[in-house]
Amino acid sequence: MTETYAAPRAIRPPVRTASQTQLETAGQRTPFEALFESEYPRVVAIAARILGDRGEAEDVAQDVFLQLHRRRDAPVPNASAWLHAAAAHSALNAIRSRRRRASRELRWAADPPPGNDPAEAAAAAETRRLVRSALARVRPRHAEVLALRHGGLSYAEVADALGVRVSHVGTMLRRAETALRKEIGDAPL
Amino acid sequence: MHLSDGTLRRSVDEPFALDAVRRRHLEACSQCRQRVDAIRTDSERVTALIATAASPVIDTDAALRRLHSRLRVPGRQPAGGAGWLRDRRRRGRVTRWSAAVVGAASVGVVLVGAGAAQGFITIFQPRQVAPVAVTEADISSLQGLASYGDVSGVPSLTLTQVTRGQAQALTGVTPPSPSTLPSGIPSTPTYDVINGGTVTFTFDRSKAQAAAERDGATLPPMPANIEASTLQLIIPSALVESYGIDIGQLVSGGTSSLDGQGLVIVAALLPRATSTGASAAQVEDYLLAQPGVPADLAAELHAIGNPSSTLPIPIPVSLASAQAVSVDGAAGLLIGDQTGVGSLVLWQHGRVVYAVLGSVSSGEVLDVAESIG
Repeated sequence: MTETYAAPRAIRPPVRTASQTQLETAGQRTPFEALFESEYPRVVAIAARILGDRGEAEDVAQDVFLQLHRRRDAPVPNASAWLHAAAAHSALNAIRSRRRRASRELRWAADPPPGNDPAEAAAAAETRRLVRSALARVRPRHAEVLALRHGGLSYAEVADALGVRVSHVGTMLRRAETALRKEIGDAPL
Repeated sequence: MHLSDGTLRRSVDEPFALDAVRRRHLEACSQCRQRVDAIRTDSERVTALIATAASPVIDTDAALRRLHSRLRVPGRQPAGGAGWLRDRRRRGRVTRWSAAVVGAASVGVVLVGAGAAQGFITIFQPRQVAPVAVTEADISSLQGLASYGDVSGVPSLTLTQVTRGQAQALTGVTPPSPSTLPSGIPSTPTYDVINGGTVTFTFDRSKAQAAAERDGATLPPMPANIEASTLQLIIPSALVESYGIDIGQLVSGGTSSLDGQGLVIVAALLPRATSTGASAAQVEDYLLAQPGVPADLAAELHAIGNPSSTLPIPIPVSLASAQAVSVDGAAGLLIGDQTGVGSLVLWQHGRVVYAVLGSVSSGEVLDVAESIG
């Protein structure tokens, strides 16, 4: 939604507190909801880079938010970084799971990627299959850094998620990209 | 000495992250330029390989409803009464002081915008703070910059009481534990969180033109990389640690000052900005050149230096004066309220910006700040 921007919204006189019912009617968000709203698209994007499938990426995103919510008795120090790392890790586990893989292949068979040209669609699906397979074979750390960076995180955010220094992210990313390309090799893409 | 592969790889995505020495080396060294070209080509191939064809539009509301249903909690409330949030919830506009702290990026929001989506480069990662005196008229003129494009996602500044652990989880900041408090201030704090958000700004030449015409002014030419840019500003959630004062009550009571003996510590990760094209300096130059932006304010903002690393703190001139102070070795600002309401000290340590404010003397807020370190 687009709205007209009033610059220093923060500098305003206080207003009276609304009741919880009024808040919900008015659509006000709780901090958890605010976190969800700001991070959900990025969590989906990270998982999608590994899974190659938006629907399955949303399944993973739902799972990691649920896990975070259930950790309320053992809070994490940086909720965003935790979500990012969990998204990459969970997506990787999903493609490493034979059961999930079989399920996914069925889904692809039933719901091929959009496109007017069946040959193009088939080639795109084959590329995704090869990439997923390669991501499952490279070192988990490589797959994670690829998903996090190519999922849209800044280097500082990737560093937070992986618990490394930001100056190390470029090196990790370069190695991971080289490893992925080597793993895919001469596969017809 | 040539640049490492890691440094060259980062320069592909975040060119402004290189320091001046490395940037100059890259510009001058043909060998490193060849290497960075090869690294860029590899990176682009990997990007194409793992890109997803699906629509980038995600229905977050529907996703949240789905999560609610999995949590088996009716309505919009995901945590029930005993989870992330305790029963007592409050919302309201915070006081002018805490608003000033939490909204410290207000001017930054106007100048840059931020976030992290694919293709974005980081253009604003502040490492220092600087005061900018603003008047009511300045604020009004800056509001007019909204006419230059579309803005969405401005956070609503919801204030919610949480536990210490929840505050840490939601803000990513360890709640400060001051070893010194002014006499008469209770030593047990309460915790609230003010939600942050991601503000997105997209330039729109036709809107800017229309706004200029309404004002009878001529729009300066909009550079192509400005027009094509989408900017995002991530404003992290802020932790509010209150001693001897109920912030929620203060807000709900409609008072605008810290009456009686009270002290509040605010801490938040620094905001940061990204852009799909233009740099922070280009955006600043363009916006401050617009008709209607007061020359004094533009000069003041230009004078604080590199807009990619300095966070302007707007300080109403009628309200306060600011002076540079040192807090445990870190550069900070001490703001004395000329109306006698209280004092505020603001400083940055690592990736966190802190503020201590209260109805106490400047020396006392500085002592508390020093004891946090």
